[in-house]
Amino acid sequence: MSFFGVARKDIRLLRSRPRDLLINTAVPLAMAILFGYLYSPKGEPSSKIEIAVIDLDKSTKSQLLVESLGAEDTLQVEPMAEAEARELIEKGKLTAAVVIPERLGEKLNITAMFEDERPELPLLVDPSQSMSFSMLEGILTKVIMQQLGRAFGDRDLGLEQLELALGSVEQFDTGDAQRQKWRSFFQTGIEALKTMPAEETITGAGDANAPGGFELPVDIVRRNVVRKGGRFNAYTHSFAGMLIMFLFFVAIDGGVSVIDERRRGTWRRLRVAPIGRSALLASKVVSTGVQALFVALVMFLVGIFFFGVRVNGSLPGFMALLLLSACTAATFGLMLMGLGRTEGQVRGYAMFAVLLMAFLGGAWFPAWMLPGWLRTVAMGVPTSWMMEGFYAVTWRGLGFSAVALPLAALAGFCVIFAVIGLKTFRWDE
Amino acid sequence: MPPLLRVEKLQKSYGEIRAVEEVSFEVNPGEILGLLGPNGAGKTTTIGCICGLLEPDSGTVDIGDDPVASRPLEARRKLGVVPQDLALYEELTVEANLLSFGGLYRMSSARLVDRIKWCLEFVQLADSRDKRVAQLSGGMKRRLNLAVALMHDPELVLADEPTVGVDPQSRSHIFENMEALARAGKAVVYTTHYMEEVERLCARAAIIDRGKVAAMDEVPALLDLAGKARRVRLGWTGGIIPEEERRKLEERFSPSAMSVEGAELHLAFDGPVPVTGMTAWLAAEGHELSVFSMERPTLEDAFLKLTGRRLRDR
Repeated sequence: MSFFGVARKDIRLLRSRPRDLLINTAVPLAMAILFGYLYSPKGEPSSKIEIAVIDLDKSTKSQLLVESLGAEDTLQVEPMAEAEARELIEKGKLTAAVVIPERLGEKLNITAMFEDERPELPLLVDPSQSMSFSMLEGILTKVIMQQLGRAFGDRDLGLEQLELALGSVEQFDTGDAQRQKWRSFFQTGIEALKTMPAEETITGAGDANAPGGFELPVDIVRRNVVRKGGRFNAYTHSFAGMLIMFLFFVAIDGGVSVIDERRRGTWRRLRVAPIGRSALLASKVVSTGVQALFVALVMFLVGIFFFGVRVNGSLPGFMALLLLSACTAATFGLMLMGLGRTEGQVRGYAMFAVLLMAFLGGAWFPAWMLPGWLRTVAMGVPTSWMMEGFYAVTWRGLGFSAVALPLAALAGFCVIFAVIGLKTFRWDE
Repeated sequence: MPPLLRVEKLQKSYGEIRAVEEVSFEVNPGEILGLLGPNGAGKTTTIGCICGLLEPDSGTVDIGDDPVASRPLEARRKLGVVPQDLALYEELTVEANLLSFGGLYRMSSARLVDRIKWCLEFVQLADSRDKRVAQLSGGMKRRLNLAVALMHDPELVLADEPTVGVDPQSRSHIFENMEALARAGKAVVYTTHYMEEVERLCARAAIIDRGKVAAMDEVPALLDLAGKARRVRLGWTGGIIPEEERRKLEERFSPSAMSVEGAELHLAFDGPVPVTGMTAWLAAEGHELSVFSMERPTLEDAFLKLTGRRLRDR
């Protein structure tokens, strides 16, 4: 049947291009393995959230709280001064900081669970990392409740807490009937503790969600930390991330364009025109750069006019970053022009490289979610520097100095890509 | 008038293979020089060296006063290349293609507009200026391929087998275009492996084989190389005649040469061809002919005589 004949022909053609076959299977495999590795549960958590603890209380209870936070597998805790922590959060170098206010230890007892006005526990967070706030809120809740629970593990401490609570029942804003139930509950607890051996513990002190139930004895208060004038907008991340990825897609098209011109025969026409070799190659790089810049401008303009994306930081820094990002993409295209032999080959390898760079650079999801070693590896790709730079001059509201390093890194990538492209470019047909 | 193109002792090798060896020729303004040779003879390599796409191992190429090696950009400004394969942007319109390639030659907008108009009229594509190239017929694409090379009004036109795969009408158009260019004082180098094209278009031709110029002269002089003999081709309806009959024919009419070519018998006569006597004899002997033609010597014959091979052997 001709149907099978055509299918056989296609398979034969595919087999004649083993590289294409390899790319088509290797790229999804590599991506699947990478994501699988990152999301798979391990003995050690793949990524620890770096937080600072500012202990203004310095009481036994506050120190116990710091120790409990430090013992958490998912946290990397460092004691720090508040100003330093704020500075690091503003620059995106720290996820969050827990501020333990003065005299919190005193207020951290069972009666606070029934009070309308509970002591605050400020949590300074990077607004771009809202997921980390939810995780931290959960961890803090657990740690504080464990700390309160420990009181009931100690007969005398438990008695002290329950007697304190019994004395405060009149202040509970729960109605007479409910107050009577609590009074009875605490009295029963006190009597039980008095008669129980010291090693036993009271658990299940009621349903926290039930009306009139007790609450976490502190209010964890979220406080976004951004430089004055800065304002986080989730679209800033998605626009910057997608822009960066698509800048490199433009670069792939630029890289393929010379192969395409060769295939069409128009490369020969360009070469016999009165244009020097360097000018011809430069024109190709410039046209890729202009396309990349156009994409970048359109993306940001749409973001600014319709989605609240703002350049809150240095405008010259932002413009320089746009320009250098376009240059990086254009020279990446030049490198592909040099290294590529066939369109399929270039598209396959380059697509893999771009997806990997987008992933490592935090274009898809924030880079802080990556394991520490991978974040170090990510320093070796331009996308990380682009993301860092765009974050700094957009919602973080930082000055030009904050993008100096990303700009220098991108300039370095431009040089590396251009040198590889020029060294490997073939002028012969 | 000084030659517009001067090629001297051009040599180019690819590894062990000598693609072009000691090739020298000149082309004057208003002249069409034919480069005739089979595929792989070195014609395209020669063209590549002339337009600077290939760097010759030795030898020089001058376009006007400009050596291609030392003043490539100046030399290329005088040069228009019609490549063997179509070199067009299929997704663009005819006009956009002309504009795109013309834009490479530093012309003012007004000049570009003028040249586009001239080129479209020259290749008779004015009615198709807004059509995308993909919509054009093969012959129209070939004509556009020529027009693109003429956008900057070059003094020298290198046409590398410009009629490959075109219909007779478009081929005729291209011939007329080449002749018009020569009349306008342009120098044209026309490579082909079709001897008829050289005979039709060129006053002079170089016969190239295995990278060397086997002969270069005025076309009539090259035809003389094949001898003055006229050839008669005979074909029989029932296949080639037996050897005994062939011998009888040879004895009776004394051709200067006789050979069997496929299903035909070829006879060469240095003097007048005995057409009447031969047809009468063949009829009397009861031979039924399917082919009877008389031909003068061609460049094909000259090529055969010079190289011992046919133009389309390879």
